[in-house]
Amino acid sequence: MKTFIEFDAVELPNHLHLTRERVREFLQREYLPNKSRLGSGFSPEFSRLCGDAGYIGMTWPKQYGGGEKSFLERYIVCEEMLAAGAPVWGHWVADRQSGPMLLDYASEEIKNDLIPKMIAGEYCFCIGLSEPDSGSDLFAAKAAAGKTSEGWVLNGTKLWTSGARQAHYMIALMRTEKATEDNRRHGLTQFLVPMNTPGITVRPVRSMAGDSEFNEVHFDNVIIPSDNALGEINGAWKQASKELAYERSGSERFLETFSVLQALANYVHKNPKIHLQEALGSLVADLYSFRQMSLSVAMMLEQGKAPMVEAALVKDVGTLWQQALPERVRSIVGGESDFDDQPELRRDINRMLKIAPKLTIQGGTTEVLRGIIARGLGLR
Amino acid sequence: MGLANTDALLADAVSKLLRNISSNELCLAVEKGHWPASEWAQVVEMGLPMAWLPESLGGPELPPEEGFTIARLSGRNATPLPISDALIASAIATQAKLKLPNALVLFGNTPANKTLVIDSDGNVSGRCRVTTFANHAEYLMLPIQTSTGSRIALIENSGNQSTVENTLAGEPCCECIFEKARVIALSDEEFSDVQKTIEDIGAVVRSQQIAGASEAIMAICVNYVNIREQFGRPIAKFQAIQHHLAALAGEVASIACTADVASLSLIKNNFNSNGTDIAIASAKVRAGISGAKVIRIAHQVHGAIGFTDEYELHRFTRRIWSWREEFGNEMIWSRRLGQLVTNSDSPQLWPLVCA
Repeated sequence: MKTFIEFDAVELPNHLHLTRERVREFLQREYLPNKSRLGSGFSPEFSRLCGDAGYIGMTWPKQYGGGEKSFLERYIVCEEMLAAGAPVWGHWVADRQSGPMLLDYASEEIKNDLIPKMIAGEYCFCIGLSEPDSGSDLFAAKAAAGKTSEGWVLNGTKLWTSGARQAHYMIALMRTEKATEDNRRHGLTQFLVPMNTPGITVRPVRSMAGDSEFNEVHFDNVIIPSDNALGEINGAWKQASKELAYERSGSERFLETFSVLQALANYVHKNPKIHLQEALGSLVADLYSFRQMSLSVAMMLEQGKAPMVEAALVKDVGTLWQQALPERVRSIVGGESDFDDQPELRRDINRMLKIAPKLTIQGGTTEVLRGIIARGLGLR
Repeated sequence: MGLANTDALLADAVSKLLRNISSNELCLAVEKGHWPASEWAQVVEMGLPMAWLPESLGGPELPPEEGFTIARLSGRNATPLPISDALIASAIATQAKLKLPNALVLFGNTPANKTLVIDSDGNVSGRCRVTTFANHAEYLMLPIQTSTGSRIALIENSGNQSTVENTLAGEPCCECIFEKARVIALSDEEFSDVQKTIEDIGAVVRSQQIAGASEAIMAICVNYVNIREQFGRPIAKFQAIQHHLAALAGEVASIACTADVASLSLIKNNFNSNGTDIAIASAKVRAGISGAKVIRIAHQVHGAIGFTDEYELHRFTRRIWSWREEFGNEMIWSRRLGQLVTNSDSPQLWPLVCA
């Protein structure tokens, strides 16, 4: 019997432990003393510091200023940043998927122009996928791009776009032709859109967590150069698999609510009762497993594979777990007699409860992921 | 499986042999007290049970990865033979530097509150829980308390057996009572905590067995839902079933991946488990928790047929239930892991998780 899903156990080479130490020193020096000023979300200042330290575009070609380091090394840097709660979101999307996308599909001119500045942490990217009538069903996108003598003209609306107000560029999925009878995925093209182009308006959407990470982006006769079409016209669906593997398998898929687990560990450290230790240990074991799976996908990417199903599996198990984490921590400590005297722990739980609902939606819902996995299993 | 350096040819040969001998009929016969002597002889001929024992101690000295592969494959086939326990015995003998006879050698596993003692004449007395199938073993290795520490003693299996009971897997299990049993060989080396050594190696082997059984269950499920038709189409076409199996795949992958990581970390540390605690604990916790989810989903998609003793699913289900309890269940390993965090000066989780 051959198993069709495999996650090889990864043994990190020794030099990566050095990388990890350096990131920790960097965070100790640049982030922790300025934590309250830099926050934990978007920080152009922190992104530039990361750029200076060589932590953006680590795997990209030296030709454009990249580090030509391995995916595993990049993985280590990213997970250390997230575990520390550092404000990485200003360069996260650019580093994770927009850069690799541009390197694969953009013109030399665009690459020479943009990539060095992305590496310096100066450019923030957002991804324009969802629309008011097209969420999980990406191929129903209606926002359109039409070819004219001046270039491409964009019209329509993107919704739930994270970071659109801060972003300098969007990689937008636009309709360039109708879908065909036999291929409903046909007809979509990816574009590089400078966010300061006339005709773009961005409206923040306030979330229940109290922030405005999401936005509605409206395109009204937005004209961009012909060169800004990325890859195959009408064939964006063929370009998605590697990008999605990057997007879905990273440590953000199980570390977003990590601080609440650390808060639990701090509490149990002071109250080492057996039932609390057992509950804590069980959650730590979960984290250990999901990190190893995620690391394994990083290794596959390093080997040049496009592990779509494995990446979907990591995101499925990881996001369900990190979503449940604040509830589980609450159920572990909520009945303790001194719970009322733990304002910090309660604050942590409440903060994470508020972001939890979105974690199994963004970047592909649980249901979409399970569809992909089921296809991988040969069920559809 | 996901361990590097494993020999694909050997894995194929082992796979083929175990598939041939591990029938549902054999499992049911073992449950009624049958000892599969001819099947055992074939497994021995291939050198599987003592894979980890070096040549100098009478073993085939296969590369360490192969032992874990054998455990995984024995789980994948629900083989009703003590292959994995004999493997663990070979690892213990290697640690203890004990030469083993060419026979079935299994071992005792004393709980914390019971000990075996050795008297001045070198004979062993006491009560000891032994591994499954130990009633068929010719020799046993026992952890012995001496005045200065613990050692491993090899004895001929002549102890009085308490009533043999079947485990949840339907395999024979008993306690042995020894009264001045003669020791054939005693390890020179003293273990600071021999119980921990046995439990650590055993936990990883069991995690591999559960990983193998879970992989088998996934394959059985995928096959079944593609064949079984209801409402005019294969049930695989129903989204509810697809989502069940996608969730199952996540559980299986997490069991297998964590078991491999723990195996690798034991190999790297030469089977001395210091420094591998979180990997081992996580593997056994994962196998226990996710194993239960695998079972629930598998039976749900199968409907009534999965509950019968003629259909093969139960062999894997019941083995996972049995194996998850052995060498520390997920509650015990969770507690140990929690204590690892809280007994240190600083409860920082992240450095521990990526150590």
